[in-house]
Amino acid sequence: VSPAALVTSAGRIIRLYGAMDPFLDPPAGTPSRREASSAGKTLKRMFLAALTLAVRQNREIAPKVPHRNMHGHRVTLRLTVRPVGSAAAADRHWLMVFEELPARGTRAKKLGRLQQLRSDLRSTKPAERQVEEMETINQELNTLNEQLEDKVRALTAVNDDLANLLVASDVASVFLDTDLRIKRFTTGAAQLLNLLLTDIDQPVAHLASDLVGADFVEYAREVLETGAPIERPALGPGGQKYFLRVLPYRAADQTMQGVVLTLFNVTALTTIERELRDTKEQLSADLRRMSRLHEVSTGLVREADLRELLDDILAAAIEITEADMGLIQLVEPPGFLTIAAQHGFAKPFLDFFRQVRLDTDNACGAAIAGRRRLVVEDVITGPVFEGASCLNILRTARVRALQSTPLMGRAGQFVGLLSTHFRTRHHFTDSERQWLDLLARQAADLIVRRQTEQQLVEAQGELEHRVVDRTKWLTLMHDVTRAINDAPSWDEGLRQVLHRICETEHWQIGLIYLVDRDNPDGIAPVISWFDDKRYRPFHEASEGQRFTHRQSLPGRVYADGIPLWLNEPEQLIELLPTRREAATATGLRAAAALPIRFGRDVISVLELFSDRAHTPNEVLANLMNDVCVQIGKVLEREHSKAQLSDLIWREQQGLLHTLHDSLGQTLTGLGMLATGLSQRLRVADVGAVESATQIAHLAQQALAEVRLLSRNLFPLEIETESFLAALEQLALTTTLVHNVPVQVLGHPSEALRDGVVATQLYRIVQEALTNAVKHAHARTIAIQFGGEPGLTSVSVIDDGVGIQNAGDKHDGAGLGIMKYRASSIGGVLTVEAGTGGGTVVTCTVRGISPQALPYKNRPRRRQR
Amino acid sequence: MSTDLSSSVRILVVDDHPIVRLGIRQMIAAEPRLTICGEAESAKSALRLVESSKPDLALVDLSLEDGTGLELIRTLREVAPAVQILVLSMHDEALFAERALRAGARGYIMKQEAIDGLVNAIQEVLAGRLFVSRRMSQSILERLGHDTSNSAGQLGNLTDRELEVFELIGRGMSTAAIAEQLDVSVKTIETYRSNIKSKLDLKDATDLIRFAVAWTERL
Repeated sequence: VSPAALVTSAGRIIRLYGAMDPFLDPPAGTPSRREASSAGKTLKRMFLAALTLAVRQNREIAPKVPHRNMHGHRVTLRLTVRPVGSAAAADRHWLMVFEELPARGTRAKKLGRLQQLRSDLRSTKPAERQVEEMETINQELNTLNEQLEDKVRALTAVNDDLANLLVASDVASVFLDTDLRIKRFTTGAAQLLNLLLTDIDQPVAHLASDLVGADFVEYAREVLETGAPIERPALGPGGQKYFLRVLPYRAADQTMQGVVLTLFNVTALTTIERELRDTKEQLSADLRRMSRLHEVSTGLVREADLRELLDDILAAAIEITEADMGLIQLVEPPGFLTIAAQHGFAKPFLDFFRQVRLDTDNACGAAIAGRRRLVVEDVITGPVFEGASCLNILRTARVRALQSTPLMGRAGQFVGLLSTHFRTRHHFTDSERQWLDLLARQAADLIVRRQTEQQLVEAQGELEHRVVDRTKWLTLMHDVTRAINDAPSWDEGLRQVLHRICETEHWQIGLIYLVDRDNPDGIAPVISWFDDKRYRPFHEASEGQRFTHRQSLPGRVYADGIPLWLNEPEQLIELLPTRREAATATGLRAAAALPIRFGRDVISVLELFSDRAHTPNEVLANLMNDVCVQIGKVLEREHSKAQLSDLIWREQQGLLHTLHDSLGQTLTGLGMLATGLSQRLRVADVGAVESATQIAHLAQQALAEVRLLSRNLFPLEIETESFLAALEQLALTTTLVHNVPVQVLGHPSEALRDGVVATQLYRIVQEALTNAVKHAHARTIAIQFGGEPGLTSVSVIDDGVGIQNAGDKHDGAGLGIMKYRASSIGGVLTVEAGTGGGTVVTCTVRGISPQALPYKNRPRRRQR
Repeated sequence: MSTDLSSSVRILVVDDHPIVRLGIRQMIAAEPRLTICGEAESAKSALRLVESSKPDLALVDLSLEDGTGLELIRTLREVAPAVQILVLSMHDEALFAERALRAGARGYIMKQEAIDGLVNAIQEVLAGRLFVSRRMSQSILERLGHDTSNSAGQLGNLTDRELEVFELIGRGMSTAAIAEQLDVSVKTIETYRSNIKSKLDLKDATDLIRFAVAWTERL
């Protein structure tokens, strides 16, 4: 084998192979401690030059160089400089192989050699056979030599590869023989263990190592003994982590020829491993949180109570942040934060934070104002709560750290706070914050959705309620309008309205008060209704009542024009001083009094009573307004009728005046003329005198009739006591004037209330008589009284053609006026066919005489 | 007061109805002792004619074109006290006879009775007697009988408010009108009327009105 050297680009010797001394220069200084080492030796300058050339060209070169060998002979060397590894030219190592080429001898040498060969030939000539054998051997040798050379080349290549491997590998490996001497080591080992070439063949026990936990000797022995590999951690002086593996070195025949110590630097690996573990943990935690979040999200779509869902969210927040306590506050009512869910807090804390004004100047307020999360990692030492009033509360609740995440709707509206609290200081990681954000997003969406749903439900409920109300209102208004329009009189219409209202709104007693005619400052019940006879005592107690301004329940509403609803027994007693006992006896519990307006004035009061509680009902109050509009219309219509009636009355008056003044005068004149004529004819013509006297008599009779008629049409005001006499006079006049017998049958069953009633009844009878005579062509007529307790009725019964057959349209107005007259005194007028033909006109007047039309006697009152 | 029955009696007719004047003329013409000395359709022309025609008796209608007959009667009493006045009217004697007599008329005859009673009435007045219908004279006499007893005292029994109502009745106002004026209910006025009737012991409404009118006239 040719000697070789592994050197750096700078020529520093790393390792020497074979007999290299002839190519080296001795060291410059004093010999080192290790005599045998190659330290200090350098390549001869000539070889360094070749190295420099190779380094510069960065390729393998193989120049031939002259050299004087150890015998002092001049020889030629083939110097092969080959780069090792793939590092840059300046850093790579170079293998220098010194190969001595066969010398081309001098002539003398050649001659000497020739002589020697000749002598050899001479000595061998005799044995030609021997020569042949020798040639054969020579050939075999040559062959063997070639084989050996091949082997050498292969080994050299393996050696090169191994050398390169050891250099290239960062792994620190040391090969020991069975005596635990260092046989070989890698570059990594050289650096880590400060090994030099001279250390080869030195016992490993001499090796001074900085590694902790790496007892090479002990481990090597153990492996040698057991043959089993050992793996141990070790620690470098700079804290690097190493992994020491001790393997037995086995030859091809499996015999153990030593051990291989290998040291791996696992510092980076450990770091990575730790990071990997951390990441894994983080991932695991995140997965857990994600599952929790998912769980919460899934839970949120279920049809559960909002509070329950908020509890779930809070539990998830506490779990995610690994907190001890937690709180969800919602903005409700507007302007306030109210606790909606909590975990782990005691009463003082909850009392303090139960409802907080949004504009409160505290830490939470700051979070709300900034719409940002409030994070306090240490409540006590941090600046956030310094001097704050709630600090003591937080301390008592053992809150050391907290976070408050605002819950924001998608539209950016602030809906609440999600807070978690910790008993110890807490550092919030980015991950925690992100998860909280996600959870807060879920919570805010849930709250907004629930609020929207709630609003929707409320709106729907409201809508349904309004539809129901509206339907009820429409039905009632329809009934009211129909009742008012169809009723024979306005007060009957009102009675039906009252009945309808009581029935629909579940009131047992209803009363309508109008202005008292005897005392315009007061009101009296005019129309009443009750649904059961057990309420009769209270009804009767109410009927006789008169209330002045502000007196009792109706008087107060009449004066103030404000509806009153009474649901407390004390209120009932206070506001029904005169009916207290009756109210208690009949078990009434609730009352309502509503003003009825005509224009801007309160003209009437509606009073309702019930045996159960009634809440103030705006719909009913509004309804009464609408009913009043209807009533107002009726009154207006009645007023128009009254005007028409008055107009017709005035027309009649005018006609009668004319009749009385003109016709009467004319008849007087005619009568006088006839008288005068008869006196002048007295002597001349007895027959003519007779005629003249007859004319005078007829004129006088006609005059009497005119007078009688006018007196009947303009009777002095009829009073209750003279009513019957007036009717008898009317019957007589009709009999005389129209030659139709009129009888008066019976008498009024009850005294009429006043002259107004008497006068109107008289005029109704008068109109009926006129109709019977003029339109029905009656032959006989009866004026008949009837009725029952509390009612007076008077009928005009004729035997004429009947109202349907009268064929005259004139009675339309006459009938209308009769009806008006009847209604103006609270009576009812009916026109029916008689049993034996003819017509029966009946007017029935109630015993409890109603008031005149409300507006007629309405006192002039201040405009409100 | 009596007039010479032998000589012709001059009569002035005051009536705004020509046919009535014609009838009177015809009737008077049949009486030889009576003469129409003038006819007037108004109070104004009546006063003029009184000057020129020198009537002994004036037949006066209460409703004239230019004023009331009552006014004319009062004026005639002043300017021609010698002229006897007989009222011939369509108006109810119950309401106006007493008023007419108080104004100075000597008689009151309603037109329906005048057809066969006018000449008799004229003669009664000319004879110096007051003339009213039998029914009317009876009524007046009855009331005078009451009057002599304690009419004033009875009026004194009325309350102020009742007296007020009584006076308004006397002015011809209806119950409703009185109620309206006093701003109370019709019922209230009726109560007052009833009270007044019982306090003054009056029979019926007609009596009440008559008495009230008479009393109011006196004021």
